[in-house]
Amino acid sequence: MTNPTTSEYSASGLRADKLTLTFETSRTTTYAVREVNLQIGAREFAGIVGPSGSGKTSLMYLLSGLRTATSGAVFLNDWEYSAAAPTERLDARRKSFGFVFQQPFLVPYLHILENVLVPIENAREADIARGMELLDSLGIADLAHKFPNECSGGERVRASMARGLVHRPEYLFVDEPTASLDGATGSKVMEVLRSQRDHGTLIVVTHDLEILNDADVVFRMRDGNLIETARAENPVIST
Amino acid sequence: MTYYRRNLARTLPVGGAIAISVFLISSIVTLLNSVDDSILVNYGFLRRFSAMGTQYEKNISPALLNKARSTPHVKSVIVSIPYFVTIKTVFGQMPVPIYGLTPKDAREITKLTGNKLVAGRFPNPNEPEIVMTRSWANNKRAKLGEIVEVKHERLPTLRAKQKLVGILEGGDNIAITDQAYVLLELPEAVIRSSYLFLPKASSEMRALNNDLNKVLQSPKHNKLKPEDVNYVQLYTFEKLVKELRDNLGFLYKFLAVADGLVIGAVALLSGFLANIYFEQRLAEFGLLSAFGFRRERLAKRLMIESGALVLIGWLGGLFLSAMIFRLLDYYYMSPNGLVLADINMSAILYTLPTPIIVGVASLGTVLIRLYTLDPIEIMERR
Repeated sequence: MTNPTTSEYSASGLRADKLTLTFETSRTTTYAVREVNLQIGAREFAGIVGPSGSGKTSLMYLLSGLRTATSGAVFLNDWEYSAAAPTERLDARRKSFGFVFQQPFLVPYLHILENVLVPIENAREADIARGMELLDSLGIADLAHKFPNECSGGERVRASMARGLVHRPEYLFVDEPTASLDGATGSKVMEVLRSQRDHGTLIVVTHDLEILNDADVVFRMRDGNLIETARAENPVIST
Repeated sequence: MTYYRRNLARTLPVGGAIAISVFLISSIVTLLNSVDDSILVNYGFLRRFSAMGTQYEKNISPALLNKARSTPHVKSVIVSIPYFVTIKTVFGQMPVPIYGLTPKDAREITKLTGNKLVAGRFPNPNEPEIVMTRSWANNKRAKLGEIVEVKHERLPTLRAKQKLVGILEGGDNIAITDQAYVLLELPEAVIRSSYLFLPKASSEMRALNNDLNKVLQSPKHNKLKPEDVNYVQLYTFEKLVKELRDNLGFLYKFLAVADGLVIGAVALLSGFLANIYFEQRLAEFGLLSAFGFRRERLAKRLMIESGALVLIGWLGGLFLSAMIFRLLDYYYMSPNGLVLADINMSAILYTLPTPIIVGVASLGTVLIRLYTLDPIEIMERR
């Protein structure tokens, strides 16, 4: 199955409609993402795969509103999110989205637990407990009151994952979650990330098809094009 | 404020630069105010009476004296024979008069200037003795019973040394000696009478001065000859203040320029530092922006952080100045009878542009960067 048309999609979840992102130079137009149509249902686990430079991270930026599409639209539960006012988009992003970037980007002067609570304005006791619970499940509870420079690279990545999950986002975008982790830690991390499905949607951008074993849907990108979509009930992409 | 609390190595240079510049500016203003205060405090007795004298004659003419004495706000006129001593001030030596008075007048002037004899006695007739307020005694480093150095190289003064026999306290600075002794010992060529015009009430001082000025300015109208008023000087507190303000005006203008230069330099420094520190926090702000925090919120946060730092630096500078000046006054200036102004409103106002300009300069440059920040660009930095 490749690049379905808009009419095939339902209203719930996250939907892209002819989503395109180009970079113009004086002579050429480069397509980072080209007319991508896709649908990710509520509480689904979606994977976006493809080689380096295929446009998978750009697609994640467009879906999450971090980057504005050159053309096309993104619908969030049938609301044309990409056409909303910038402040509305920001508010939606803060309330509904969570992010785990390739680099952990921890705030250096905040403790690990304080970093985890960054997406929450005025964190309360319950939020702190949730943050500690996530750190515990990621095996770094003992680092809660340490500064990032006192932690290893892998520990920082795990802290950034706790930060992405702490406010129970409706959509969690994760970019290469296991890239800097060993096998065992990677599995543990994926287990925690999968818990996101209890209350929302998980969208993972990765090279590692193995971590998408139980994904509901996997999108394969190449040269900015969505070339393949595989649903769990009809898998096309093999690991 | 967590950032500043946990990054003291970055906070202190900016806060310290503001505090030091505030200290510098307030110190300059306070020293300049001390010049002003030194003159006003040491000539404060002119708020109680005005003095009239002539430069080339021993006395003013009887016609002028009668006319001046008959003005409505004059209670009485005391004839004094002054000579001059110098006292130390923050701007160097300053001459002040020592009034040679009769014993009766000495007591009246003491009372009029709000003083009381707290130690010793008044000078005996025809004796080289002097009473003065404690502040001037301290300034001359003289204790009760000791000799006071009263020599002056250029102004009319006594040839002999005088003994400090009494200490006055409680009012304006003043020094009094025996008139008969002065007339005896002061070189004839420099003896000049100074007529002290006392008001009927202290509230009438200004009116009294106006009357006397009118007499001097309109001799014809007052049926006086021009030679009656030529070379006659009236020393009033208002005139002293006016001359002082005129003379210090240039210094205050110069101070404003210096103030501007200091503020400019500190603002430039703080702007650079703020930019360097913001560069180091780009990832943080890029991240918050990516998470959906509005720029206005981030800007507000920066404004609160910068505002608090600038405010703390400013208050710290003022506190530092107040402490240093208070200690200086307590341990050195007051014991030596030197006048040091307080950190007053004018000093505070001169320092006020520092936090404002520094705040605007550092925040302005950072806000421009914040509003042009692309979170993706930050996220994609490796």
